[in-house]
Amino acid sequence: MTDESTSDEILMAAYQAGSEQAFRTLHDRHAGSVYGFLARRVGDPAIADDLYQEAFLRVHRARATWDPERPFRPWLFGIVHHLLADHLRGRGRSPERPDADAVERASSTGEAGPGRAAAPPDPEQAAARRESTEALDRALRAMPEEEATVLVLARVEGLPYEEIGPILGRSPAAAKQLAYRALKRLRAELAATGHGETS
Amino acid sequence: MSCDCNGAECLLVDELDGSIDEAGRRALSEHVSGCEACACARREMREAWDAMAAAAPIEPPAATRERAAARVSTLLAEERDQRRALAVAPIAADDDATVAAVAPSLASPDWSLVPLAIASALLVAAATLLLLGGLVHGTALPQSHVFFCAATYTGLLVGAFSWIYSATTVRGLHLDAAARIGVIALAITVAATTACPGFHVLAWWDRSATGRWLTEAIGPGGSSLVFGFAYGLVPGFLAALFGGRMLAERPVANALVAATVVFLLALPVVYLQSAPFTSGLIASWVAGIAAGTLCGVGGAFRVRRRNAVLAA
Ligand SMILES: [Zn+2]
Repeated sequence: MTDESTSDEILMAAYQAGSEQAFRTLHDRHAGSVYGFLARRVGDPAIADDLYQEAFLRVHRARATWDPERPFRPWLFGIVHHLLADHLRGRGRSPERPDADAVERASSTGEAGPGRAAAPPDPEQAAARRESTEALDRALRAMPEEEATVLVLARVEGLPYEEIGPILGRSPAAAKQLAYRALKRLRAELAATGHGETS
Repeated sequence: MSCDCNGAECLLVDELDGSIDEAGRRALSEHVSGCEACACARREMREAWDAMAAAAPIEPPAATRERAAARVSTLLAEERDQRRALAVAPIAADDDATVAAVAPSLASPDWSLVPLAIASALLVAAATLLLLGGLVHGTALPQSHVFFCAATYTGLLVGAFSWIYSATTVRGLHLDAAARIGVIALAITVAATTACPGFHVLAWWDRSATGRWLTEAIGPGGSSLVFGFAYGLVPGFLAALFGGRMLAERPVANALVAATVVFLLALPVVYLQSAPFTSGLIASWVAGIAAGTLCGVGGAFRVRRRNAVLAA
């Protein structure tokens, strides 16, 4: 029953009741999203690894607080967002790190995840792709934490603003305003490094 | 109908993820055609939105992924062992059967909890009768009144405990049969205390030697403190001892919630029956409930640990 068609919510309820298999399926399903969310924003693969461990530990400890009536992914990203925010606050935000692009380099040698498009055949094209991804990650790290989060949740995870709002402790309307500011800032960041389309 | 620039901001965001509706789309294109600033913002936002496509998920390195999964698996195995040792709420074997068992419960109430709620209710009824037993000797009221009121309080606590059990259910059932019993009990309590205003719940305690001594020592709040303690002790103990997973995770918080519910349920009764209903009286009552709950949780944990040691 733990196949592709079993919803996150049913798996999560089974995980609450103690099923290890349900946890493993959930973990496999969301590993890439959680790791990508963290790794892009901290840059350093070692820190990303630590945060990733901590994220699933927090999920485990908090699993009784998940309400089966509510969708799973906003709850998951609520935990991951708070974890990242705690980390960035504690570090006093030094967005640019010397090995900031190590995550991309390290991950580009690994297998392609479900959310990631198949690697383009042309190596030149692949290099261009990697460069634009690295530029985007740098821009996200330079942005305020919540602005980058709202964009990742809306664009990459496809969550509606009704669900993003509570994650950030804001109303849906305020989350949309945040996304508006974030998109403008992102575009400015990308343009400043010569990666935006110049029009 | 067009919109202003503020409204346009919101619609521009909606347009990107496709959640904009037909009316919004019309209002936006009307506004943008006449507002260069928003037209420019629309282009810039589309660029940034497209650029965000490169932020796709990244699969973690295999070692990272396996370490996280192994850690949670270990914790789950420890919990299974603990539960086996404590023999509370037998946990499902770890296979597809758990998923199969849980899936329908998301949609329908879990009736298997009803016997547990009734058993706890009987237990509380016995405890309450013991608590109020002194009434029969200590009051000048006609016996029928006393019995009526004792029954009322029993109903009150039965309702509260039913609530505790329904609220600590794992599968998100917050208003099952047990909770409805609680609502009925509250209604009975309010009706009964209104019909029988001569009853004073603290009377027998106040007339006892210990009660008199305590009241002399710390004032009229003394008896409230003691009753609060008794009210908190029982739910705290039972909730921590028999509670579901929610309580296993946060025993103190959940027992305090349970005790608060008991407090709120009993509030109209105490109000109706305490002539000088002062804030000091309430404060000492609350303090008693908090202390009683913590003692109850502590006691329940001692019992659980003891059982675990015996089982090991
Ligand atoms: Zn405008």
